Amino acid sequence: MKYSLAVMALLFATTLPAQQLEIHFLNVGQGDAAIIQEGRRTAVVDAGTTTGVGAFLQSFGIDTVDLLIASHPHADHIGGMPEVLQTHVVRFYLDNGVPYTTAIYRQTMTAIRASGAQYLTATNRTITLGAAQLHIVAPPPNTTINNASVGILLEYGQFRALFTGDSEQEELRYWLASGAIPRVNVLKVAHHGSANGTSAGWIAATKPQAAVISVGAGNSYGHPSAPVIAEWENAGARVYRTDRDGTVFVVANEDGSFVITTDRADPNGVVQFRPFTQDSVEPAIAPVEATSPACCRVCSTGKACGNTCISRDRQCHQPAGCACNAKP
Amino acid sequence: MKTAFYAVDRLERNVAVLVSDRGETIEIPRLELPTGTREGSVLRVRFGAQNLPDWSSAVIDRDEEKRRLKEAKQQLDEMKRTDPGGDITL
Repeated sequence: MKYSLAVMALLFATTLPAQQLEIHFLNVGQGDAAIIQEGRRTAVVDAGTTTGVGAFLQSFGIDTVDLLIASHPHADHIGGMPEVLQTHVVRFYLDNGVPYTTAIYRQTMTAIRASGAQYLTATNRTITLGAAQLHIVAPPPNTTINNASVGILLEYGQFRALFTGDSEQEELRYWLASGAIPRVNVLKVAHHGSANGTSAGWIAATKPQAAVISVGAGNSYGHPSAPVIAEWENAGARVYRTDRDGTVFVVANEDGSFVITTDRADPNGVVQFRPFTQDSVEPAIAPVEATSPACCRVCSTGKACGNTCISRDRQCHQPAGCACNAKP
Repeated sequence: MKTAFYAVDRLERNVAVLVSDRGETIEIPRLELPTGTREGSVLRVRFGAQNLPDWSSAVIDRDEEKRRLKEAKQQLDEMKRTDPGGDITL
């Protein structure tokens, strides 16, 4: 009976309207990069250490980035910015407004100016991306580079995801004190899962169902911290790591439900998460494992390509994924 | 004697990540850098016999750091003036 209900629930999910929010936590080695798509609108949060994000964007058939965000000017977050700015139309560029001394920062600034992108400062403001809202959570003033990371609270109906760059304890405390941090469905764990990017108070406030660590295999910095992973898991979060899972792909519905699959998951490895009740004090609902092949995305106007939908007139260069074509 | 600038991109535990003026990143043990090195410091480094940076020669160049920050701040200030402010709909 339980099996039948799970399968029915999955089938129901696959018949939902195609309008969904997609988040790709890209496997860019030791660095951060994520692509957010809602309808025809695209935002990119950080661009990894070197080139590569541009190729991801091209493989998804994206030639315009509506909003490009640099959480902070460390090279493992802005290294790929010049490439994105030079190879794609970028409409808006937002960063933390902190000047820096590296050549990579200077190249990024040059590329922003050459691109014609509209510059935005990281004040507490809301940027609407189709049916999704990106609430910019401003960093504290006069602090270290990591603690000046731009926070982004992404809302899509009842679904919430939080991006925090390389925030450390000082910034996490500042944000908690501001009252701006709600419980979220998906959290990008701060500072590549480092011990200084997580605290008990932060876990209690965000209490995500899925925690994503963007990290490179065999890095020199000891990222991620094993105790940090255990803390998130003990709080009920399913932890994903780009070094082991590859790119982590989230498809969210406005009711707060979402599915996650990864590059390295087997074809049945779609994990479905139910919505949580906003004011519930119950522990995070355990994810329901898919027991049969399921679609993470149903393509009605476009066609399936890997884990996403693309226009019917585009050629697909992705291997088979979890996206399906709608039944005629 | 050939010299070059390296900016300290970040300090991660015992590792310093430096960026050359060509945009290349290099990791070296933090202990090899001069006392007082912090994120954003600009180091002037001599090259040794094998045309490799001799980190023992590294000195912090505060004037170069200030110059770079001033230039970056001027560019940022110009861009900030174009920010339309408030919420944005894409």
